[in-house]
Amino acid sequence: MDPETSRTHARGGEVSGTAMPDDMPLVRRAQAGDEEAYEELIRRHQHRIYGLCYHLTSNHEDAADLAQDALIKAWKALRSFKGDSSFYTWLYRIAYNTVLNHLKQRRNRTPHLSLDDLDFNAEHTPELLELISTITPRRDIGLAELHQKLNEALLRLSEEHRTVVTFHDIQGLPHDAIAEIMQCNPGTVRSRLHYARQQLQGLLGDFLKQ
Amino acid sequence: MHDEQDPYPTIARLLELKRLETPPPGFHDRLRSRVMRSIRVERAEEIRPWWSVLWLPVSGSRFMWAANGLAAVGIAFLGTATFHVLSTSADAEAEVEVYAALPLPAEVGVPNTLVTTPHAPGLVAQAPPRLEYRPLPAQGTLVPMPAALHGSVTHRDPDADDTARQLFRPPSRKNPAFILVSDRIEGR
Repeated sequence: MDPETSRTHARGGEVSGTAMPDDMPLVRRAQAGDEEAYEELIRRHQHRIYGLCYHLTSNHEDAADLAQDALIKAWKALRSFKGDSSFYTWLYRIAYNTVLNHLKQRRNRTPHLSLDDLDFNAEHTPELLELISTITPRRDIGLAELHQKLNEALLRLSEEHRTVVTFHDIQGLPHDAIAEIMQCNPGTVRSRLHYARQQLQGLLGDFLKQ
Repeated sequence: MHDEQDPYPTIARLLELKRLETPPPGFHDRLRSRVMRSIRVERAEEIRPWWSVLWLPVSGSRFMWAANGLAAVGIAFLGTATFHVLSTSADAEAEVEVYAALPLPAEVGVPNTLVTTPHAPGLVAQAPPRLEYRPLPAQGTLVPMPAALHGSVTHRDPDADDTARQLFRPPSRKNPAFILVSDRIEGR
């Protein structure tokens, strides 16, 4: 297990694998038809499911629809969950496949970003100003513009590379969990992550401190 | 989330900014409500009796309400019209009058006759007499038409009654000995 698995992220519901509460009692109840148990499971995981959908599509409306579809699909398939993997890994895999299908259908369309509803109130907090100052040498660039550039660069990555970056760098999942969700080995995850960062460095080099 | 051997630490820090992108306040509550509502609707449909399918279209949009309303009015109109037509034709049948035919001349022979077939004596009390229909002979003899009816033959008055003329023809399949007024009317 990677040392990173013990870390947690406080913001946006992104947490690493070891911080997951035990879902199995709720899962068993939900499998028996207990809707309240499933609602509690949704409450625990919906932030991460939505985050995955949002970061892969960069569109709030699409992400909302996809998260809803994934959670409904998971309810329908709940009886087939045997507990071989953790519940959140299983749920993530359903959401990931739902997003992949969506992206395949929209492959020929030009993606558009929807950042209007996002929280930029934190832009003026000292921590963020310090973070931005460590990232970019340009004092004229704002958080919104930086986000815009970042999202555009992410959308230029392939789906697999964007997924790995989303899982690892944004949502904080360990390599093992990502490999389980994407059904590949951890070495592949590491190599994809390295390549994705390299590409982002090339695309955003003008904005970043060397 | 920075690997110690990460050659792109700035990129990793930049990607942390993505965590600031959060949906509007209350979004997650609404999302959870929508999911649970969909699940409950689907479960309710699974246990719904078969006949409740008839009410499904009614519970749709306003357009569906209007369409179903129009369909209901149309069905009601068709039902009323059909009932009216059926009751009118039934009344008309009830008003048909039956006229007795004039007696045939003696030389014509026995027309369509209902005759009783003799039964064994032991069965007479238990069974009603059996009636058989015997067809008329194919060829009959011509009967001279009474002089009083000649005028009605030369000119065809739609109001005139030619029943007697029809009756004095020899009986055949086309000219039965007993006719109904409705037959007479069709013959005009």
